[in-house]
Parts: sequence; structure tokens; C-alpha cells
Amino acid sequence: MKFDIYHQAGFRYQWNIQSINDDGTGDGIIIGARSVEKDKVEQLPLKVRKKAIFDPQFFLPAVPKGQLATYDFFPHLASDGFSSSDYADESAGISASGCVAFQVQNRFRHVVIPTRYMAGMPGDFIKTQNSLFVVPFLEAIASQDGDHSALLQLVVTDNMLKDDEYTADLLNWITGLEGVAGVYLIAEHNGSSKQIKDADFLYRLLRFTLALRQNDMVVVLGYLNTEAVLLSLSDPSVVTMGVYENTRAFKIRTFEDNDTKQRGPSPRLYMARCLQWIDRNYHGAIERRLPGGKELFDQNKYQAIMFRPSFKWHFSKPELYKHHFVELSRQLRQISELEGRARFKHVKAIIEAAMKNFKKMDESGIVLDQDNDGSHLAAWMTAGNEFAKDQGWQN
Amino acid sequence: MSPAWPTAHQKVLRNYTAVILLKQGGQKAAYRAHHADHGNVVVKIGSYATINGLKRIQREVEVLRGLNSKYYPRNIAFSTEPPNQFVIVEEYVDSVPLSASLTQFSAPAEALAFLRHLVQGLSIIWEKRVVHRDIKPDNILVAPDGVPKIIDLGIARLLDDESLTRTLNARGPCTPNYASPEQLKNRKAQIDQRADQFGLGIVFLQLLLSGAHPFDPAIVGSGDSIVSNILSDKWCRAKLQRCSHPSSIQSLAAKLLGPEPFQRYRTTASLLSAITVCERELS
Amino acid sequence: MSFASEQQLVDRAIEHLPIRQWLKMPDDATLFQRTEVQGLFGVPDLLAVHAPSEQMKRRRILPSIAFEMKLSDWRRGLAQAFRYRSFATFSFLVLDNTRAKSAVANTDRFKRANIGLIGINVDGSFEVYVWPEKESPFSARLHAALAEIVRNETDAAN
Repeated sequence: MKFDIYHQAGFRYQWNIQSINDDGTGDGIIIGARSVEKDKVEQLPLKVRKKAIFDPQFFLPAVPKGQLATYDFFPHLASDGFSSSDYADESAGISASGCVAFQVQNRFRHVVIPTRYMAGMPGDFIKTQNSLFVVPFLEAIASQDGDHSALLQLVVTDNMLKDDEYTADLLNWITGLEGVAGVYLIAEHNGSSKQIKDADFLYRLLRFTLALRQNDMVVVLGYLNTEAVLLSLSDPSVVTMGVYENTRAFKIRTFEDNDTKQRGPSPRLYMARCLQWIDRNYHGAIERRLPGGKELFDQNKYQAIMFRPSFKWHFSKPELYKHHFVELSRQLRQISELEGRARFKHVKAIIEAAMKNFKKMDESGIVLDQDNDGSHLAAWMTAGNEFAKDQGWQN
Repeated sequence: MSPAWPTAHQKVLRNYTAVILLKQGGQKAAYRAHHADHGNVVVKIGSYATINGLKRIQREVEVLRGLNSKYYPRNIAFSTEPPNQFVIVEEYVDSVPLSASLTQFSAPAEALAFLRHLVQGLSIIWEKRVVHRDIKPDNILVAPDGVPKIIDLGIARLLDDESLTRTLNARGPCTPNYASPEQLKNRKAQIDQRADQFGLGIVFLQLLLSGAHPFDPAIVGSGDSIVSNILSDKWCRAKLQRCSHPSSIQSLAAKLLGPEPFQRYRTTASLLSAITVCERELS
Repeated sequence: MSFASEQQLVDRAIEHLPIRQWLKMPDDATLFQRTEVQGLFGVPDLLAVHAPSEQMKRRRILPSIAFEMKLSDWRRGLAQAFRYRSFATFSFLVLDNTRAKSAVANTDRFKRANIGLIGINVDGSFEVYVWPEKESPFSARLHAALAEIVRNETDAAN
């Protein structure tokens, strides 16, 4: 089935909206409450809101970080200090009613049922999520007039995905919930590299997504980086892409209350034929050493701007990301037109071509570091092949 | 009336005529009888050992009372007699238990039609968030017109209620040879309508296989018992393939017998739709 | 005997590598030599630049050598040394010579990347396994940044 492309919007959400409007790079945005204050969300044009998904981001219900403090239904504010032991009694309902009413009044595409982040593989995961969020939210949704498509937001950790019994329990729980049309799924990967290099993680995420889809559930895969290309194999309903790295990989620490200010990253350029963001500082080597290296740089209006000598490369320049959206959305749209085995063959060809490009670079004497060198692609290939074998797509 | 019947039963049955014993087991017996007002009825008389036992029976009655469907016997009356006797009166259905007529629906089209009836019947209680939990040929009566009647909701589970018992048993209430893996492991939180689908899957295959149990080690070719085969997902896939049924029937069977609930059908509509696909492929 | 730390490698390198000779510097010329220089691409453990004032004024390319020191992880070291080619005319990976065997077996990779490979011993003796060829830095911008750093420090010193 065709899938939609959504922008996982952070505080630069206006860039996402501009990219969608000007360049047709997406079908909607996911608005994160931590990054956009309540008033600004309500002021968004109705056209934008109707296609948007609002993410309440209750991951750490006791930490109203950033703009979360502007939402009076955020658990810590709704309960005058969140404490899981007594939250369920009264405050859960108040918070849920407020959050659901907000989403319904703003006419978002779905109503998201948020859940809290729980590390590791807690034994009380389902019970906790049910009592604190799922049940109160389902009740609040049921009390609203009209039909509202509800998505259960779920953050699954690396550990959860890698435990067969745990994932079976999660899938049994999710698919047994009445009144839930789908899942807004966020998978948190343990690795520190910019791209996911864990084939097992990717394979399990593919299977988890497919299991939900085989239950006719909507699946929105949030916080994706370029692995959206690979994960398209699992027939998701929506894949995402984002501006800064914190919208392209979910890490709970970005919601924690700490004051460590991160240094801005080095500007990187998305290179579609490599399925990789490559540090600007390597471009000279690529142009000089690799025969036909210039062709690896995707041509579009943003590339033309960025490659002017006067352009000052900086990670905060919108052109970097608008270029990325143009190129990645183009790749994803092509993939979306295909299904099953044909989709797999196409994705496999893209990955193989990218691996060839890195091999050519290596043979030309370009030595990229592990955040630039395409070493994630081997893991993608492994995960993709395993998944394809399960589906009977391999010849 | 037979002098062999318990005195307490005879006391109840005095209000009926043409009484015939249908079945007897433990503390329960079922009689066919004629009532002046209600016509032919089934009178179930039994005793309950605990208050929980009584509540379980009351629950069955409560569920049946709310139904008005050709797939369930109509409940006529319920009463208790001191010290611990209960009496359930239901309409008598002229029928044969499916367990005695498993070869009647062996043609795929007939098996599918019968399965569709069962799903439509069960969907009525599923919509009320009730799980039967004991789907098996003994609990399905076949009327002369071929329409099934589902009986014995005695261990039905109301999903919204707290479970009546905290059992120390590894297994919850069920008939093991027809129970889903989650029932056998007593994973209460996971028991929903999809547990009934598993039982339906077994019954459906029994129809196609002229009565053979799909998890029977003799049919599968391995395993210690039906229950151990259920727990290890070993059923007669190869045998079904050799029957040359359309692939959609094999997919239907495989999905109904999915070891985990999430591997079965999430909604009644999707299950009925899958049956339709099979019927189309056959025709 | 092996080196106990990368800092020891740096110290030995500064002491014994004929950097001035490699940069073809006259004896009286000032060598700009710093460790852990920030603000470029990667952080070279040692950076040496011949910055005669005329060349600085004309903004020509400055002869420069960047060094990455590693006890043994030559693959990572090679990648880091390659970064320095974006602003320096030469780049070397310097390894503990007692642990350089694997790198030496892969000199073709160093040659292909045009990155030098040196194995240095605790006593200061060293072997150059791969001599890089002079090549202009990949990034004019980063080389200009390097020149700026040198200019600022030179001006401050004066």
C-alpha cells in the first residue's frame, strides 16, 4: 500500500511547512508539544492542522520541558505534580480530557493517546500505560461527539524489540485494544552512531510494524532518519523525516531536565545516491578524488544555492534540510508506488547502488569516518534480506 | 420420571411431562421435557459448591437472557433451590451435537458456510465483550436446517468484569484439547475473542478432515499430546496442503490457529471477509 | 617496549620527527607547531605549519603537516588523518611501532588515500612506511581557517 510522508517537526516546524507547501515534500507534519507552544499550534492554518498529527509527548510526565509547560493538560501540570502512584485516580482523567479536547478542537488528523517512556523491559509496562493513559484517553475520546481515529503512541526500546516474548505481549495488547485505529510507533535505538547499524534491531522493527499492519492497523513510524527507505518494506501507513538529528532519532535524554547545551553539529548534506548525510568537509575530497564525484551531489534549487562560493555552510541553514526533504521524499514516493516484492527489489537496488558508491569512494582513496562511510548499509541489507526471505520475496 | 434420578431433581421435574434424561455428569444433569406453557424445553439441574460457582452459572444465564438469536437456545427461566441447587430452563433445540456429525460438513464450501454461521453467532456475544472460552464440537448443536446453536457459556468470560476466581491452576477454565495457547498458559490478560477463534480454527479443520483433530499427534506425525502440540504450534499443515484446498483456506486455517492472539483476526469483519475470499476462490 | 599513552607518542614525535626538514624550512624560519588544534575538521594531535609572512600575505597555500597519533587503532587513525587533508598539505598517522604490523600490512590503503604512515619507537627512532605526496588541501575554506589561526597566534605573539 502507498504510504504518506510526514515531517517530524521540531522547533523549526516552519521549515517543514514551507517545504511541504513549496516543494511538495510531504503529506503533513507531526507537531511535537515540547517544541511548539500551545498558542502557536492553535494559530496554524486549519489546512495544516487537518493534516497534522499532534504529539503530546508525555514521555516523562513529571518533566514539562520546553514548551510542554504551555499545555495545561500535561500530566505534571494537570496533577499539580505528577506522581504515578496517585495520578491514575483523578488527574489522569482530567489530563486526558484536556488533551483529547485540544486535539479534537484543532481537528488534527488523528487523536494521539500518549504513553510514558519506560526504559528496559518493565514487567508492569502494559498495566501502567493502561491505567495512567490508555484507559483514561479512550474514555475521553468516547465522550467526544463524532468518530475520532485514535492512535496509540508507543516508544519501544531496543531491549523490548529484541525480546520475542515481550514483543508478543505488546502486540497482543495493542491489537486487542478496542477503539484504537493504529499506532504512532517510536523505536528507540541504543546505538550512538548517527545511522542505525544494528541489523537485528531493524529486522525486528520491520516485523513489529508488519504484524500491526497485518492487523489492519494504521502505523505511523516516527523519528525516522534515512532508514525510512528500508522500513518502507514493512508497509507502514506513514514514514517520517525531520530537520535536526533530534527529530531523526528518538532519544529520551532530549526530554530530560538537564542543562548541558550541545555544540551545534557540523553541517552535513544528504546525498540520496549514498543514502547518507555526508559532512560538508568531505565534499572537496569527493569532488577531487572520485571520478564523476560531482554527479553524486543531487541537483535541485537548494543545492544550487548551497554550492555558491558565497554560501556560509552552517547546520542552522534551512537549505540543508529542504534539500534533504526534496531528495528523500522523491526516493520515498518512488518506493511508495511499488508493493511487496517489487518494492523490495527497488529498495535493494537503491541500497546496492549506494554501497557501490561508497566502494568507489574507498577505491578512490577517500577515507570517510564511521558516521559518514555508509557502514550502516550492510546492516540494512542484512535486515532487508532477512525480512524479504520471511515474506517469500527472495527468488 | 425415573426413580434412579436424584430426589431433588424429581422434585423439580414434577412440573414437566415427557421427561427424558439427555446427559448427566458430576453434579449436573440435563433433561428434555415438555412444559405446558413453553413447549419442549431443556431443564438443566445441578448444584453449586461455592458462591463463585453460582455466580458463574448466573453469568451464563445473564448473557443468554440478553441474546435473541437463532444461534443460541432461548433462556426461559433460572432459579435456585435450597440448599445449593440451580435450575436453568432453555428452549429445546431438535439437534445433534456437532461432535456426532463432524463428517457432515467435510466439503470445503459446507465447512466454510458452517464456519460463517459460527462466527456470526459468536460475534453477538463478542460485541457484548463476552468470550465463550469453550468452543468445541460438544458445545455446538446442529439443527436439521444445518444452522448451529452454540451452548454452554458456563465458562464465558466477561471482559469488563474482574475474574471471579483467582485460580492456582496453571490453566484457566477451558477444555484443553480445544483451548488456545493463552488459555492453556492461563494468560488472562490476553484472553479475548481471539481465543474463541482458535477453537473455531480447530473445529473448522475437523470439518475439513472428517473429524480428525488437527493437533492430534497421530495426524501431525509428532508430539506427545494434542495439548503439547497446541503449545508448540504443531498442526497438520502438510496434510491440509495435500488436500488441495485453495490457498486462501490454508491461510484462513493458519491465521485462526495463530499461536499468539495478534496473529489471528483482529475484527469479526476481517474474519468474515477472509471466509468470503475462500468462498470466492472455491466458486 | 610499547608506549603507555598517546601523549607519549606526541612527545616523542615532537622531539624526534624532522618536521622542519620535511616542511623544507630554512633554519631561521619560525615553525608554527601546536597540539590539539580546534576549529578545523577533526582535532589533529599535532599540527605543524610553515608560515612565512609573504605567503601569508599572498594567501598562498601554506606547507603544513597534520599528525594523528594512535597507539594501535590504525583504521580509526587513518580516517582521522584523512580529515586533516581537508586543511593540510600533508597528513600522517603515527602509530606505536610495536603495534603497527597490521597497518603496515595495509600500506596500499594509505597510499591510495595519500596519507603517510609512521611507526615510532619509545626511544624516538621511527620508520616512515608511507610517504604522502604533496597535495593541496581539499577545502580552501578550511585551509583559510588554518591560516587564520596561524595568523592570529603569530600576531598575538608579536
